[in-house]
Amino acid sequence: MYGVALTVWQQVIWLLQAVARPQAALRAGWALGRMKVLRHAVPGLTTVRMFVPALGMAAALTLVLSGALGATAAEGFPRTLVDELGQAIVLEQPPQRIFSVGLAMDNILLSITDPARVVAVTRFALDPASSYVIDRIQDHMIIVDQLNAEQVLAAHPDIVLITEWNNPDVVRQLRDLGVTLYTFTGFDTVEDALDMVLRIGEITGDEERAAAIVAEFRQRAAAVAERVAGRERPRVLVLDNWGGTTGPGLSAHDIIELAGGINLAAEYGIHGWQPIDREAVVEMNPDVIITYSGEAFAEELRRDPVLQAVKAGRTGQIFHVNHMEIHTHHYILAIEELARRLHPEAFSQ
Amino acid sequence: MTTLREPGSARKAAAPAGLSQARGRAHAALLRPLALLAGFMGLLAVSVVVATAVGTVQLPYGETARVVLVKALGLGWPLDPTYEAIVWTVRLPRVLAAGVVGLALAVCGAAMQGLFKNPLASPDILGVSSGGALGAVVGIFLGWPLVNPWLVPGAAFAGALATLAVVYALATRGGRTDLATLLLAGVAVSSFAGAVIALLYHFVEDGVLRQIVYWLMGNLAGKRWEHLAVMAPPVAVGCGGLWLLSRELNLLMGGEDDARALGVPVERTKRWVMVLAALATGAAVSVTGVIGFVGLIVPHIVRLLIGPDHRWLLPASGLLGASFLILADLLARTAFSPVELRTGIVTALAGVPFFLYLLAKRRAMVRWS
Repeated sequence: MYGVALTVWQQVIWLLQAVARPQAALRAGWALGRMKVLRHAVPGLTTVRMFVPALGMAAALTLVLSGALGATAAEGFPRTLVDELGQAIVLEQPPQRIFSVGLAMDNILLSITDPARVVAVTRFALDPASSYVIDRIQDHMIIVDQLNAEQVLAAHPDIVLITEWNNPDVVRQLRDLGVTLYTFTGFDTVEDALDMVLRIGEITGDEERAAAIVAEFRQRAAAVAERVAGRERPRVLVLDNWGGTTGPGLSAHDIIELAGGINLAAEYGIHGWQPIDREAVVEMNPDVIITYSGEAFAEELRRDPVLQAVKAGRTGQIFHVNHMEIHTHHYILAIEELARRLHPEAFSQ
Repeated sequence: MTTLREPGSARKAAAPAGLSQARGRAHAALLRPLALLAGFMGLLAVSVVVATAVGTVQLPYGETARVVLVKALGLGWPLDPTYEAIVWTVRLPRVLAAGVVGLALAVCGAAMQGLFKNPLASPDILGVSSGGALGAVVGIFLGWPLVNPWLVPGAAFAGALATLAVVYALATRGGRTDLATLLLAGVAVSSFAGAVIALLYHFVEDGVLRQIVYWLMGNLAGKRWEHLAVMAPPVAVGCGGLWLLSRELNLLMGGEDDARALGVPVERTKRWVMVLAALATGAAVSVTGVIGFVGLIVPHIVRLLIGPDHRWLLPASGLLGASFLILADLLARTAFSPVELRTGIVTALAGVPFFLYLLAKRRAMVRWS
């Protein structure tokens, strides 16, 4: 009988572990698309991404121009949108009941549109650690955890914003019931986040506000670039509490480059998120080590005797950077914060 | 008032009483399982009603009952489309799917524990669940969900049956299947399937990984009537067939040689028990993914209450397994609403302590024969 109890107990432990990890992954995944090994191993895709900034700017310009021509929001409807899965969505008029099932969408949606039009947000939107819009949460909003068919149906949404991480069975059930779903798949780069702002602007009819947010982002990023221009770029390595580092193709890389640093992982041919061991870190010998996994993890890194052997450890340049994990235009806060840490003299006057 | 009696008179008086007691015991031997079976049926009915009435979204009970009655009886009366969608399209199929899966896993678990005479046996013991999981994961990996939503359950079902075939072939020599070898082969094949799945993790991107995790952890969300229609026939055939074999299973408990001497076609029985169990488990697993503990714990609980006779044990396990999974899923949906727990967490957290409590209370080994 003891054997049964023991096996049962082991299975409980196994189950809890299996459950705990994906749950954590879900939260992290909202912010940073990790483990996208395949996507970043395909060179063609990476090349395509280089054109995205240009496309994004062109889109912003078009939107600004159309705004300047005096078209009012409601006049743009009915409109046909294409979501990131390539599915066409027809909106007869500006949606008044928008249901969001993703932290990034919560943050962007509440940044650009009237909170009265948002009927549901995720529970992470109520968490000060991951929300920029707590003061815009209202009592009428339903708080969701994941895509839940009952909650969606009861809310009578005009459109539901989801990610590709939802239970495929529930997605299909809602589609069959005629619920309008808009799926976001781009959660990788800083440009993806800006693209998401523009897309959500298109959905709500707040294109001008969305374009203004993107324009402000570019303006502030340009200001940072101007200040750090011509200075020696420190060699930076990202480490996280999953034991990995980040190369081109994910937002952490973009943030380092925009803040006037060199992402060492890129020089070592790392694409996307990859696990990395401490020996490789010693060999890379970064000037600065940053993390987005919190102050406690940064302290752990500072105390790691192995990292004392690298330049960042000897000079005390190991620190946590805020605003790197939420996939929104608030990435600019991370860029500004990191730029100040990398080039304090450029911001001293 | 005291009466003096002869020493013999008490014995004389006791004799007829003893006889009637024996008759009473024979009665009780039939009454107790019947009463328990009736009780489990009642529990199942209550579970279905409660689980349909309560959900993430709280609807008026009267409206819920109205939707169920109007739709079930085909009355065609006008219904509020929102209530209809929530109750009839989302909630009820999920409740019934939980019931069918719980039933299948508990019946197969009971039959496997009997066949292997091993308290650790569960429907997964032949590697059927792992093989099904591997089939599904390969299907997801190859992008089949986009081609047709039924390809992945189909791949899981094929994987489950293929695993049984492999394990059975490994353990069978000269028409005789060695149960110990079967067990070992099942464990080995399970581990191998698990390793292949873990290997595939490294080559998929985030979205695909999520889908795999959803599948592996077992979930009942999003189950539709079509799922039930696909799953119910194999489960019915598998569980019904196992019940028809309960006499043979009972005799096998006394050892293969004795069973053979009593005229049981031992090898054929073993083969059919495994095929039927794989059929029902594979069908359940292919639709909802792997849900643990039901097939392990429910038969033990029932065995403690009703005894080891498979004629009673199998149907009673099925009924309790169905109620158990329906209630576990209800808890998973509502306990921390809007956070929806994995049903498997609840089956473990709720089932294991109750099981251990029963064990401690009985202070006895589970009776095997």
